[in-house]
Amino acid sequence: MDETVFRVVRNHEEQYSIWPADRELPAGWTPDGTEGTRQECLDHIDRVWTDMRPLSLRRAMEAAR
Amino acid sequence: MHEQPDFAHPILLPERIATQPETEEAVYPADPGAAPWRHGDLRDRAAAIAAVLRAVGVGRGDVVAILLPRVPDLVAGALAAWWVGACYLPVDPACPPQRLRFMLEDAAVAAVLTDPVAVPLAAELPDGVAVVDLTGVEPAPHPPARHRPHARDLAYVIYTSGSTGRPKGVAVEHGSLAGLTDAYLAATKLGPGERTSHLAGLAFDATVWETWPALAAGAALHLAPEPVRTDAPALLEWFAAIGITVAFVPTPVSERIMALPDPAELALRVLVTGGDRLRSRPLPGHPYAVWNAYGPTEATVAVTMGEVTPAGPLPPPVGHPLAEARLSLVDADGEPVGPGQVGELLVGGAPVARGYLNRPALTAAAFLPDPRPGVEGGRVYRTGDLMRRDEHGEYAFVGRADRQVQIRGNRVELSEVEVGMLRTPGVANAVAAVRPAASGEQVLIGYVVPAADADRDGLTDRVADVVRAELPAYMVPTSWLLVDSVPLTANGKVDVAALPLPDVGGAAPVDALEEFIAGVWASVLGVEPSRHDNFFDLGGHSLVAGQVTGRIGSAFDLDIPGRAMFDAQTVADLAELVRDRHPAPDELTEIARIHLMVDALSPDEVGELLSRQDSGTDATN
Repeated sequence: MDETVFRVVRNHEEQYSIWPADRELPAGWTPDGTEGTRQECLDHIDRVWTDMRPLSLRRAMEAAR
Repeated sequence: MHEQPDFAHPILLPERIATQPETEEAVYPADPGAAPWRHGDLRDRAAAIAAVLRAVGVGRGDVVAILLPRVPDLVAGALAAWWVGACYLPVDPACPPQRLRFMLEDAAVAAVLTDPVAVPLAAELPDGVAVVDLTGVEPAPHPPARHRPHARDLAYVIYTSGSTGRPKGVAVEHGSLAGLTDAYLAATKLGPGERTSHLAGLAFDATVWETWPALAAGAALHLAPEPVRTDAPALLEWFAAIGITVAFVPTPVSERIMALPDPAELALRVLVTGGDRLRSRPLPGHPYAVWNAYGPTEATVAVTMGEVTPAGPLPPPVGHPLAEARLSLVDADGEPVGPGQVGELLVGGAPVARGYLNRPALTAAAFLPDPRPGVEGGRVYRTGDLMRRDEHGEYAFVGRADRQVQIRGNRVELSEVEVGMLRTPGVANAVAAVRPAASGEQVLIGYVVPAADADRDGLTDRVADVVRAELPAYMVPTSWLLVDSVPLTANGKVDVAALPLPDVGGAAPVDALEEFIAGVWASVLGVEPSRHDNFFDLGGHSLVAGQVTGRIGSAFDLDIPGRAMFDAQTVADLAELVRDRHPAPDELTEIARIHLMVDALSPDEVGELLSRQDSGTDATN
């Protein structure tokens, strides 16, 4: 089993991904506080990433209403 | 600062198509006599369908499935989806109903655009899904206002199989599609007044770049008749007859086209290929340039393209990155590899899809933070493809990161084996595949398609000699099979599962002729032979050999001497010998089938059969 610890991360468009906890996080990404195995992180993302539209689109759609 | 170049295309496809002159030819139906749809017709039809979609409540962000054969409404339906702010999902009516229903439910489609033939396929959908039979759609006097999409509105959803069973819908945004369109037009120089083809599998993302760049550039899109799509000589004739100048043709069919002479009136100037690994180069002297493309659906059809000239290394590389694609090669730790080193390809930039529709975890696992310096908050798609960058900056496909073919502990790149096979004179096509043998062991099999004028006798031996001279022993197939053609999937990829499996020891007779011969053996030897058992190993000797050949000879009206058993010592070989000597070998299995049937009858049944034949009723036909 892969023992790598991952972090759940999010960008300016509120898109989610995962990144190894021991590697430097690329610029523009923010940890959401969840750490764990790859699967634990992905399960968390399945629960919280309920709207997959990028933030800029959501804002544009709200403005167009 | 966030990365700016991602969506630098202010003019998205719906705008570019809407501004085409009304009288410009847009789409030609596959039926050769049918009149073309001009851009004005296309717009009116899209408006009419949009009015229906709007009336059933379809709006921005919804998914509209298009379940149609290759008709102009494929295009009008997609434009109608965009018109109301939705995206389109192309579905092939030939798709198995179970998979179809899965996709429509998984994508949570708001509407299905279809025809009377496919309406039943769309049945049993959840409540609230509108099934629209387009044959009943009337022109709309007051169409809804056309939606002006945002670069991040979805343009389309395409399902891919993936390696882990359940298909997933790749969701691509308008900004990515606009970038692809520009890249395709820059490479092909497709322009107004030109003719291009629509022939890729209906649910395959190659239809995206067959369709939209052509319409955005003012070229006419010709829908290909079904029979010519995968038949290389017929397709070339069709290109010539229509005057097609630019065409996308999936890799296996392109490989054949590149090896064929050109019809005199061929106007083709660019042949774009992709979808599978290209293993050969064009013969010199073609009037057209060949462009090889590579790209996962998750990165908007294509991310590299390169011209393939007659001379150069094999297999040909997949070319240079398209304008908006940011490619990098990384090792297993995600660190960039050195020059010339093999690494997994990551794709960043505008082609990166939004993700897998309604699959957050799957999306997060495949679309990762872009580690390149200077890119803030960008994402890369992990392709799982291993590539190398050559000294000219071209990318060369090496293999799949997650599908390393291992044979007896050695890594084997199947395309390298195929390249060797294709170098043998008389070989029209070749496929190397790893398949399970009867023993369960994985074996490397070489499938050889002989050229029309090739001497089939000993061809596989000659191919084996060429491969053996070029490659290490573990890369030489252990079984060889001649096949008449390479079966293709609906998407134009090699359908390995549909290729025959080799005969191995213990195999049962393959047809009625072998079954009959095996039956004769069994009657004199007292044991049931497999088709590869040796007659003399099973206790046969020269005295019974004469009995066997005598009975087989009389069954097929041939004179076969007993010594023939020394030339053909197995059931399979003896069947071959009978075929060689018989004046009508095509009828042999049928004759053998009748013998087997009669042998299985009781004397009374035989009598009845004979009397029925006397009265003119052929019970065996």
